[in-house]
Amino acid sequence: MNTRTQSRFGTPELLFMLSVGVLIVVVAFPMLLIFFNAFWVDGHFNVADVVRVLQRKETYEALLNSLILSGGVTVTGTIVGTFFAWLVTRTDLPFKKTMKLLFLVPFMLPAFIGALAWKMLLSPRAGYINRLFMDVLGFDGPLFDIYSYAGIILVETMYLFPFVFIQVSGALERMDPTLEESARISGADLFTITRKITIPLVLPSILSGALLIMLYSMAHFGTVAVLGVETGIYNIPVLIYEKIHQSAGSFDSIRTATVLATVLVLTAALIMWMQNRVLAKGKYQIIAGKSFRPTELKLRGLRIPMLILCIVYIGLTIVLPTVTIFLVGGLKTYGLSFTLENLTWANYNHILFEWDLTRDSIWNSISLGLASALITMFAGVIISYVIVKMKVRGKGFLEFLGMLPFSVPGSVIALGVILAWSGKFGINIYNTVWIILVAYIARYMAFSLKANSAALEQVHDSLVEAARASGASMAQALRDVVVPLVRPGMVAAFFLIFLPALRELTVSVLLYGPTTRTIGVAIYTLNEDGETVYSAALAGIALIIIVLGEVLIKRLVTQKNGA
Amino acid sequence: MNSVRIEADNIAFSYGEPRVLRDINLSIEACELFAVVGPSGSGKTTLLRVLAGLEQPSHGSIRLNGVDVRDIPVAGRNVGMVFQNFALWPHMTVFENIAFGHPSAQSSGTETVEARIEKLLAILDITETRAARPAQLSIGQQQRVALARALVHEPRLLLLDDPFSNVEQELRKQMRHDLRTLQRKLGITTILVTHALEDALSIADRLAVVVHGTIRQIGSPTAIYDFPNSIDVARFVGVENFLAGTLRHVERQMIEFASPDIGTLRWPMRDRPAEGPSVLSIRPHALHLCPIDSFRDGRYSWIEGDVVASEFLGEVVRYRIAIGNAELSVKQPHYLGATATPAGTQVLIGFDPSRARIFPAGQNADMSTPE
Repeated sequence: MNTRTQSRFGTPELLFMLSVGVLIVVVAFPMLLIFFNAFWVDGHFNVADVVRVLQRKETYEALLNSLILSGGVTVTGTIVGTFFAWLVTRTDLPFKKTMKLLFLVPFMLPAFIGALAWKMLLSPRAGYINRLFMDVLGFDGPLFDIYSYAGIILVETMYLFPFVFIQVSGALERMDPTLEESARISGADLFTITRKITIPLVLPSILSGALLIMLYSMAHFGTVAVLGVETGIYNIPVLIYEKIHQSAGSFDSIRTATVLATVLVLTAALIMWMQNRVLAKGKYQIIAGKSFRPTELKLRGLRIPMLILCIVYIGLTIVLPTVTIFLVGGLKTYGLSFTLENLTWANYNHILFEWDLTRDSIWNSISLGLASALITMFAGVIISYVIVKMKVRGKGFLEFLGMLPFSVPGSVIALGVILAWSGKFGINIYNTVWIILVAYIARYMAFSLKANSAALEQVHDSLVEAARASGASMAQALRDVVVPLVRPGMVAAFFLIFLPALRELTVSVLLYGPTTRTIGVAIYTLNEDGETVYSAALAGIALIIIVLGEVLIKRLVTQKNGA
Repeated sequence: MNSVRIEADNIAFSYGEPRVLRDINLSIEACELFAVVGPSGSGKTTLLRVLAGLEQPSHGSIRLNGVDVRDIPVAGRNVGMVFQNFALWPHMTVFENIAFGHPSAQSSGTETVEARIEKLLAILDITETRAARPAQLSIGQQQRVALARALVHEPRLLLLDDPFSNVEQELRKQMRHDLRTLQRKLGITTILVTHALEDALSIADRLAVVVHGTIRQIGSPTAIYDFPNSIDVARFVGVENFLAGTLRHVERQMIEFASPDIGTLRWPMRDRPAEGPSVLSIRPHALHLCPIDSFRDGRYSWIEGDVVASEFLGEVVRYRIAIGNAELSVKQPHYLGATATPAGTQVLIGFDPSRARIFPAGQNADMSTPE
């Protein structure tokens, strides 16, 4: 070490080393273990063995299914999302503002709970709607079999289309209306303007939303696990789950899982890379300055049919599944019809106050959510401070480490955590609540870094310099100037982590032990065990907690902005 | 080129309750460069959009060469428009931007569209940018591309929405000069909307001052600058001093203006305004600042006051002078090496009353609102 670096080793370098240390232990080490386990067989590097694993039927079927399902969901979700985004921003549809808010609601609902509801409604023999058609209306077969590729794609589309909807409606709203007006003046008709001006300009938003759907669907466990189990449709996360659970600890299944995880990581990386390219290429300045309202397409005779279409869509994606969950949760036995004498509060009472398994799961989820949100929030603010504000070499590496889990599927993180913390390296927290906590921290660190970096970017360096010039020490400047200004970012980070953690399934389902079920795991396993009614009741409770949480944030955020 | 005369009768427009435009009457001659000026938010851009057909007026009619255009859609009106932010399509090259649209653009007469674009690019001196994207161009080039796009279809009417607003001072002077030359060369009827008086004064044949959605005055640049017809217009064209008082007719052709702040002044005026409560207005540079003990030249009226503040602006120094309860703004030319008169100094202000304008008091409720 030369003298220059010796003399330069102060607080920034210490914080930097600390941040790197934390991220390596929590994020990089487990990930590296996955690649190591996948490619390192019997003490040497071995690709042939990886190929052999990939050639197994179950492996390439899982791969193929992942491609079919996520491809299908991406196509349908993008069409649905773009169409509704256009409808609420560019036509004279009645109640547009309300509709826009309602289209965002599916984002709040966990997809696997939706899948559960649709299973109750449309499973080929027992589903309520199918039974209505067969028993009452006299059809020969079920109306629709939800246990199919089409069924899974349909359900995932319902809950993932907002990715595209948000991006596209945002782009259409921010787009400078004069870009279209100047085309009108040049003599083009609405069709030409849409084709040559509007669509090319919002295409980057459409594509980036589509890739988000693909990324999410690729890594999605719940819906496929709930709807695919009967007919043997499984994707990569489901296969990883089965490998880990059914042949617990065997070397071969761990290896298969790591190979699958590697494939998943590579796919996700490819998708992220494509998204970056799309965004970099299509970064047009289309934001409006002085805003006149864009020309609205007059729907005329289609106005009411379109409104009905929206209402039906919202009814089918939000109202019907939610009502089904609450009603089934109140049934004395699954399969009874929804009449008053078949309904009871006893189930809700039982799972909330009497049954350890469900009561514990709620407690586990809340405490895990709080703990991971708090830890990630504080760690995130320090690490993003180093990334954004400090002039240390190698901070790009730090940023890369922190953002890595953003695109890494939950199953991969869980698998990495298992490899790292189940005794091989001296620490065994497998089957305890701590391993889930570590996994949550790794998974949600990127959320916290994003929110905190955004807040810190806005705190200009000169503010700290001004505080120093007024005689404050660095610590005082941080405490009195920086922290108050980044507090909104920290609050945002907290909720961005707490709420998804509450309903988490993909990670915890790989890590839970006998006493460490989370709400998501409890709902999922109860359903697997045939306890459909209790599963629905718990899902109902989860929905209430989630909605209350969302409302609370909206309140907090709007109050903050108003002040 | 087939330029057009444009008439607007009694136009009104609103987006909802507060009327954006009302009682707009205009008559613009073929080949004229007509400017619409006014403070921001006065409705001038909306007026341009109504003329373009982007907005339908809620009342009134627009005629191009005597033909009512109410039922002619934007595309059929054959107008060219340059938007404030130029609205160039970022995903197209300069050439594609200019060539876009117009079913009639396939060919007109002997000239192909391509040849016409090449000619326009050459006239506007942007030939080398034809394959570039708008984001790669300078502001000046972007403006010329927008102009080329507006002109390529040989419009009968050219509409310009504050095309200089995003441009820094020096470039701006060059651009407006170029615009004027081109407009002359093509002989195309042009309406220029701007919030900057200087742009309008320097190149327009005539201008209309729009305040709060109505046209307050139409006239040549010098007429409007020298003879604003209301306090609002006077304020907009840079008159800063407004003194309340009472006007009386005395003798023949003589008027007397009495104000508690400056006392009583008398001077001859041929078309005498009505007697009664009035407001006297005068430009800051029509006032002369002299030492308190100067000889009081009989050509001027003289008032005593105290310097409150001075502001060095380069070519001139602007003083605030307290006179009674009022304050006057005075601009004096700055000479090499001269220092500003310090605050607190007693001074004499001399002025020629015939350079003042008299408005009836209470003509505008917002007289006292500062700009």
